[in-house]
Amino acid sequence: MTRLLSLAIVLLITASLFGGTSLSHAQPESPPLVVFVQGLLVESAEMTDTGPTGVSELAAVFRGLGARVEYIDLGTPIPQQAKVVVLAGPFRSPGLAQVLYLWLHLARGNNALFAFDPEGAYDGTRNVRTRLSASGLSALLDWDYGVSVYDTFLAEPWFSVDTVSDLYKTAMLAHPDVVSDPITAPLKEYGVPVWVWGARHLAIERYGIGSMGAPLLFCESAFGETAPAIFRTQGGNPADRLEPNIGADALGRLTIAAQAERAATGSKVVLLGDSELLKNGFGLARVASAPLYAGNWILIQRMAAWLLDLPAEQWPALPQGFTWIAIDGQQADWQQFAGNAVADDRGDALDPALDITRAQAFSDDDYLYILVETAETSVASARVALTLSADTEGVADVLLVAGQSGVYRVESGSAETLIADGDAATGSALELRVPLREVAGGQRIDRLCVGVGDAVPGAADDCLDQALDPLVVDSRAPFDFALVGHLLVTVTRDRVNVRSAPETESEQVGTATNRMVFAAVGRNDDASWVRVRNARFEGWIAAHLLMPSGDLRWLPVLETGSPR
Amino acid sequence: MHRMRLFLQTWLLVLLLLGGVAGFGLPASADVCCQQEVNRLDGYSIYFSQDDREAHPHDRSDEGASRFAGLLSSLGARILTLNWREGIPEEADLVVMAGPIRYVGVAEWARLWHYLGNGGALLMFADPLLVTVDGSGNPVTDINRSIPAEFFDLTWQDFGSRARGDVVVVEAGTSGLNADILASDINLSHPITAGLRDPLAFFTARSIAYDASIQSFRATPLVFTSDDYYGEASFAAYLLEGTAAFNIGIDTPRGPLALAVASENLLTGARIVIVGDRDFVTNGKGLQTAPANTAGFLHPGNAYFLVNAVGWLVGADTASTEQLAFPTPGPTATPTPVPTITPPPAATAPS
Repeated sequence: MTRLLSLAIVLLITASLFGGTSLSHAQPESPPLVVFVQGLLVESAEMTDTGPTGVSELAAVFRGLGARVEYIDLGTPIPQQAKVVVLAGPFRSPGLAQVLYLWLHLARGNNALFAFDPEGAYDGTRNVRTRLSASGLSALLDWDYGVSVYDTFLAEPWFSVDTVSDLYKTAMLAHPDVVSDPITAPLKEYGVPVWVWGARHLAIERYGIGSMGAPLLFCESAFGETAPAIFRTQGGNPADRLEPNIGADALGRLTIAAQAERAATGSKVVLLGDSELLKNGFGLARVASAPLYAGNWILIQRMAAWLLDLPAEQWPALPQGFTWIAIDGQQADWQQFAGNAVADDRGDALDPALDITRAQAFSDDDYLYILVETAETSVASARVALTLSADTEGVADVLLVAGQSGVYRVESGSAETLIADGDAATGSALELRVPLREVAGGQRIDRLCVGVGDAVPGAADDCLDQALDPLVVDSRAPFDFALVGHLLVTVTRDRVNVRSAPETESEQVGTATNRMVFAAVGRNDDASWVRVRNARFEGWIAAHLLMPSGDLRWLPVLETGSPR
Repeated sequence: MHRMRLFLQTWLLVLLLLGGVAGFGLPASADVCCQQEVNRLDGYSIYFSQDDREAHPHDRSDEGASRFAGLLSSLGARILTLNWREGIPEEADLVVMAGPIRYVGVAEWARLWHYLGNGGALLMFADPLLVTVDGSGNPVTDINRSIPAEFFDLTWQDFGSRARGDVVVVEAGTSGLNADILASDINLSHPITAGLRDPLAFFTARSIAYDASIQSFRATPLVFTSDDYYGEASFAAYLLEGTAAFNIGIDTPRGPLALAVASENLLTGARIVIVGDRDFVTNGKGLQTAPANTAGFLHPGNAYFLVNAVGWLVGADTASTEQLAFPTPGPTATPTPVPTITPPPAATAPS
C-alpha cells in the first residue's frame, strides 16, 4: 500500500512539473532517434569523425532515411526515445553499466547495430581490447538473439603476418548468404559481394528459442585464426604463425554478419564481425563523391532501413553510378538500354527457341553486356557465339561462346577456355556479361549466332542479320568479378603501367590508377613483377607499385611474356 | 467446580492444538520461545538464483537454505529456481540471490537490472568472503569477488545502498578480530524489522552503505552493529597473517555499521534488500536449529527478519497474516557457537 502511495505521489509531482497536460494532447510523430556510442568508455568509431576511421557516412545513411542522429557515451542510460543504438568497432570492453544500459534499451523493444572487430586486431596505432567473450554482451546476444560471437581473425589462405600488420591489406570479400533475407536480396540478385577488412566470425541460430535470425554474409575461403599472438607484430616476429590448424581454427563457410529478432519484444539486432565495412575510409569510401563499394552501400542502407522498421516501399534504391543488370536470363532490367536494339526476322530458324528476334548490347567501364531474345523461351542448352572485331588494325578478331556453363574464349583449333569472371544465363532470353579485357578493344559485334550442342554456333544456326554496335554507358559494374578467390594487389601510385611482359620495355596494355585493385595470378622468378587481372586489364605490373594482401612468393611463376 | 475444570481443560486443549498448528506440527507441549504476526505469502512466486553457487533452497545441509525456503513455502509462497538463460519471468515476485560465490556474469546482471527497472524485487545476501580448498585440502579464504563493484555502483545510484568491500569486525583483545555479530540495534520503524524482539546473528558480514537523504529512492538501514565495530578491508590477509589494525582511509570507520538495508526506487517501485552475509540465511548458521531439523531456531530473529523481508519485498497483503511461533531451542548434540552479544548503542537512529 505504501508502495502504491509512493508511486502515486511521484506521478503526481511529475505531472505537476510538466503542467499535467502533456498526455492529453496528441503529439506529431517525431523522427526516430538513432544514437551512436562514442567516447572514452568504449572508444568506438565516432559519427562526428569524417576521417577514414569515422562513421559519419553511416550517420548520413540514417539521416537520409529520416532519422535524427545523436551520440552518447554510455556513461548514463540510453535515452528512452532512442530507436536504434549503434556501437561500431569498440576498442575497449564495455563495462557492466554499459552492457546493462545497452540491454535495457533492447529489452524495451528497440534495435541495435553492433560491429565488433577481432580481439587484438591492430589498426596501425592500437589493438582491439574488447574482451567481448568475457564482457557478458556476447552471452546476452547468444541467450536472447541466438547470435554467437567468436574470438577469431578471418584470414584468407594467402594472408601473411605482414598482411595482419596493416589493416588495409586485410581486405577480403564476403558474399550474401544463401538464406534469403530482405537486407541482402539485391546483393544476391546481382551477385555483388561486400568488402571487409579484418573480421571475426559469428554463428546465428536460424530458429532460436524466442528469437529468429538469418546469416547475412559469409566468407568462402578464409579460416578463423584463433591464436591472438598473430597480432604481436610490433618489434619482432609474432609468436604464432598465421596458418589454419585443424581442431583449433574455424574452417569452412564462416558467417561474418547476421541479423536477429527477439519474438517477445520485437527487438532487432544486426551484428557485424567487422567495423571497417561501415567506416568512411573503408566500406563506405567514395571516389569523386560516388560510392566505391556498391555492395557495402547496399548492405548498410538496407540494414539501416530494417533497423528503423521502415516499410519496404521506403527502403533506399540501389546506389547510382553502377550498372544494375542481373545476369538471370530475363530482359526486364534492360528497358533503359533498348535504344540500340537490333531486330531480326522471325521464322528463319526451325526451332523457335533458337530463332533470334532481337538483340541488344552495351558496355560500361568494365563489362560488355549482351541480350538475345528468341521467338520462344530459350532452351537451357542454347549457346551464343559472338565474333567481335577490333578497331585497331592488326588485332585479331575475338570469338566467344556463352551458355549456361559460362563464357568461353574460342582459341585457334576451336579449343574453348573458360573466362571465370564472365557470366551467362538462359531464361526467357539469353543474357551474358563479358569482361572488357577479353574483347581486346573490339566494340563491334560483327556476327552473333544462336545454336545448341557442343559446336560453336555458326552458319547452320540462326544468326543476327546485321552487326551490333554496343551502346557505351557512363557507369561502372557494381563489382569486379575477376577478384574473387585470388590474392589481391592494390595500386599505390596515381598512374601505373600495365605491360604485356615483366619488363619496362614491353608493350603497355593499359594504365591503372591509384587504389585500383587487381587479382594477382602469377609472378616472375624473383617476384619483382606480378601478373595481374581485372575486368579491364590483364598484364604485368612491377611489384613495388603494388600493395599485396599476402606473400607474393606464393604465386605461381609464369613464363615471362605469357599472355594468359 | 467440575464444570469449571472441564471448561478450562477444554480451552487448554484448544490452545495447545492451536499452538501445535502454529508451531509447524511440533508437540503441543513444547515451549514457545517466540511468536510474531507475519504476512501470508499465498501465490507469490519466489525465484532462487542457483547458477552462481548460492545457498540452495532444496539443500538441507548446513550450507543450504532449505529452512528459509521451507518457511516461505509454509506461508504459501511458490519456490522456484531461476533460469538466467531464459530470463526472469514476468510473474516473478521476488528474486533471491542467497550469497553467490562464483562470478555473476554481466548477462545475469543485465537480466536482473531489467527486471528491477520494471518494478521487480531482489533479496541479496552479499557475503564478503569466499572459502575454497587448496591442493592439499586446506581451506583458503579469499575476498568474494562474485558480485562486481560496478553492480553496487548501480544499486547506489538507483537504490541508495551498496555493500562495501570490508568485513565488519571488533578487536577482541589478544585473540585478534571477532567477526561474529549478534546485533540487537534494530531499526523498528521499518515494516521488516518493526516487530522484531530477538537479536540478529551475522557470521562474518560486510557493511552496507546507504544514502538516506531525499532522493528518488528511499534507503532504510535495518540493523546495526555497535559503535566499536569497524569494516576491515584486509580481512583475508588477517586470516593469513594473524595481524590486523584499523587503517584510516582504507578501512570503514568505526561506528554503528548497517548490516542490512532495505531500499525502494520511488520511480519504478522496485525494492531491494541487501544483507551483508550469506550465512545469515543458511541452515547451519543463521537458521540453525536445536535439535536439528526442528523449528527451534537458535536465532529466531533471523527467521522473522527473512520472512518479513520477503513480505515487504513482494508487497504482501498486510490483511492476510499469520501468527508464526517457534519452539524454544533444545540442547544440541554438539555445542553451538553463539556469537557474542553486542550492546546496543545509546542512539537508536545512527546518522
